[in-house]
Amino acid sequence: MHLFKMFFKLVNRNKTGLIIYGIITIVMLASLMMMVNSNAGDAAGISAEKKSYDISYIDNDDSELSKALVEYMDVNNTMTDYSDKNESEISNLVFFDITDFHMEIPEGFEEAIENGKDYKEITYSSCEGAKSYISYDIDSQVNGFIQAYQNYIKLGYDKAEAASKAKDLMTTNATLTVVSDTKTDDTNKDKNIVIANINQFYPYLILGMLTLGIGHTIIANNKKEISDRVNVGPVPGYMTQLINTLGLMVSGVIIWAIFMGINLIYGHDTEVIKQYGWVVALNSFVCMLSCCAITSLLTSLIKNSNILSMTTNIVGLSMSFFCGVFVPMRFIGSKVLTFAKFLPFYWTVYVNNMTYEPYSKYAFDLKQVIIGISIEFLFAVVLAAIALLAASKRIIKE
Amino acid sequence: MFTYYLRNNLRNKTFLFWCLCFPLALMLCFKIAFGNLTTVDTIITLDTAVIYTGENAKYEESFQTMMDNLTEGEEPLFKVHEYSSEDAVTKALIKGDIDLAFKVTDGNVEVLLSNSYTDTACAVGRAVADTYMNNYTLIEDAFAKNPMEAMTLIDSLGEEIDVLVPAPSNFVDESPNPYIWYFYSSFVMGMLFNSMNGVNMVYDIKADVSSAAMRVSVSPSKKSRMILACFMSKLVVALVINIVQLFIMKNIFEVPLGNNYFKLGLFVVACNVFAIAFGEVCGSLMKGTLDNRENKVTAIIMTSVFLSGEMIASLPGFLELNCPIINDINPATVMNMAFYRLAYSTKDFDFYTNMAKIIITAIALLAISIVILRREKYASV
Repeated sequence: MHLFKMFFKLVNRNKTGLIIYGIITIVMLASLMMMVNSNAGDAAGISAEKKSYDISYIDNDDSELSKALVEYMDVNNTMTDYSDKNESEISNLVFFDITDFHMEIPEGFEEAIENGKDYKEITYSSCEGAKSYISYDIDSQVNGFIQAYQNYIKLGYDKAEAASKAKDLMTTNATLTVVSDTKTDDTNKDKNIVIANINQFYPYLILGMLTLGIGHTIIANNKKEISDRVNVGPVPGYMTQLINTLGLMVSGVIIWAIFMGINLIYGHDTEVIKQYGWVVALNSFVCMLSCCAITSLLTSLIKNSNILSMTTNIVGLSMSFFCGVFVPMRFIGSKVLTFAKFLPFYWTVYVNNMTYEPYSKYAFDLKQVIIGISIEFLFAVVLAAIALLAASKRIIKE
Repeated sequence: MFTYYLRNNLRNKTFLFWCLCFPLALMLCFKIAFGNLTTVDTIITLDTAVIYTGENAKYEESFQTMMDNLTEGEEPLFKVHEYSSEDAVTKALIKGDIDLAFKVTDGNVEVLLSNSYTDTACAVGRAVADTYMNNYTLIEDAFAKNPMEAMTLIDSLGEEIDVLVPAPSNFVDESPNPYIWYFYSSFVMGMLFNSMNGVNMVYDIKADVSSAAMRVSVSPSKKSRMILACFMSKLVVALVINIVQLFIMKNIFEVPLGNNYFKLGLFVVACNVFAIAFGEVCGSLMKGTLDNRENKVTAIIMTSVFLSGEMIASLPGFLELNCPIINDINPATVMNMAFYRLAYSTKDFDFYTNMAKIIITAIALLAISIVILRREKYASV
């Protein structure tokens, strides 16, 4: 018990790593909540219920037609007037994807449209490629509206009537229905996205906390001066190793409990927790076990705190990028995902994806969940066995 | 003295890792993670099915004609699959065999999507259905208002108009790739880690901080030469590291770096001078052990790097819109902006504005650090 207490006193002395990852967690949570609240549609791609692109514009024509076009586009999109911004500012906002699509209506646009084919063109800039669905969709909205306006003019309507009729016509949209064999309650969509993301980032954060927060303590405990001092006491030789493992596991369980607390407090009314709370709990627990095993392995092989920091950053970040922690799995190439299957984080993210299908696009499948968690557990066992082997070799060597 | 400090730097593995290896490792991760993103949004042929449940044969026939047009050509928009019933289509959607389906009833087209629908299927399906429904209504209106004109109108509906054209790009690519920011940001972060070198310089020169500096202080060498040798050794190593990184960025990660090597050289030298001088000033003014001072400087740099969008690329854009002053005074953002304008933008003015900010601040910091390091006298040595 004395050694166990000492372990946590050492953790307290080396708490920088825990504080850093604690701050990262808070910043991530705050950023997620802020971004989801400011643009819920974007966070989960476009919505089947409503078109929603952020479109900026400068109307140099200020005509019936240009005003009607902007009004029509505003029905299904968020239109922002950028006439007070200079070219450089607009260029930056386009680059940072703050606006999905920026368009500039030229002077004399209405007149040219009425004259027939020699119309002046609306120029646009966007981060989306010409072949992207956003370009296709906005292109179809703008061209459809202009074509309808032209046709109403041909039918004998005056400018104002034609613009108004074109707007009425174009705002009548087709119905979109999502068919599913599972019921999805989307009343708490924003919260569901935040919770799904918290669980997505969890592997990266817990690995960082365990390795950089607790790993330094294990390295300090493994130092010859400390182990020699422990060895002169009336405790068996294996005790230091056992205390290290026990301390690591207890710390892991505490961090896991905090994460589950955040899940339950913030997301108690979300579909993710209400429907799949047990999957989240089990998946994150097994992930914690595999992270403990990785920490054990790293601390058995590494004797220096600086090298531990470097290795942890590389291992944590690369596994997170390969396995879909930072970028949703559906965006990662199939070859990368095939490689990622040999890493424990892949299975954590894979199972987590199934807890909120509308965001991840992975349908819930109990069999796949069990397979995923089992593989994760196997990783934990294998890595722990290798860590044990490495630690005993190191002890014999010393 | 220069060689001594140079060797010291090259033996500092921690410094080499954070300045050289870590940014490259991050870039590799970005390349793997974001390499596929630009192709995800691209429209490819979508698998679909059409269900007719209405009694208006003309409405269905017109829809079928439109679908026939959309399934033709080398890169058709749709590939239509045949199913025996509506249930079979629903099952195919849920199973993922088809991306979307159209349910055509009298005067209405419904787009059916699976729960795991893609953004592309949703946007394209909606656009096609809307266009069809709107055109049909328009023709009905035409027959009601002016039957003579209606036939001409039907013919003109087949003609495509395209009023949207890309603006002359301010970027080297036609469509700017926002993910490129992560690469620029990682490179700038690596340069800013040189502030640790600045802190180390304080450790090497200030006699009240380390025994090594105390020993150097009693040597007959001129203090100014000592400072210059130490500073240049750190700058040379930093520049070599940056050249290696830029080479890898350009040739392996295929990140655009622009074609003007003078501007690139100016940028890299100015940023490194800034970073080292910043580290020197912070290291001189802060208290505590070398580790403590380094940790404090790391905290400042990481905050600056976070605000510049290293973790969330759209953050500088969000700040530009809501609080542009933060972007104007944050060193990492100013450097990132300068780098992206140099490498990715076709406009020079903004690049030089940012460079002016970096150079003026670097000179000021350098002057302060020299004053602190050179002028300080010690009673006991």
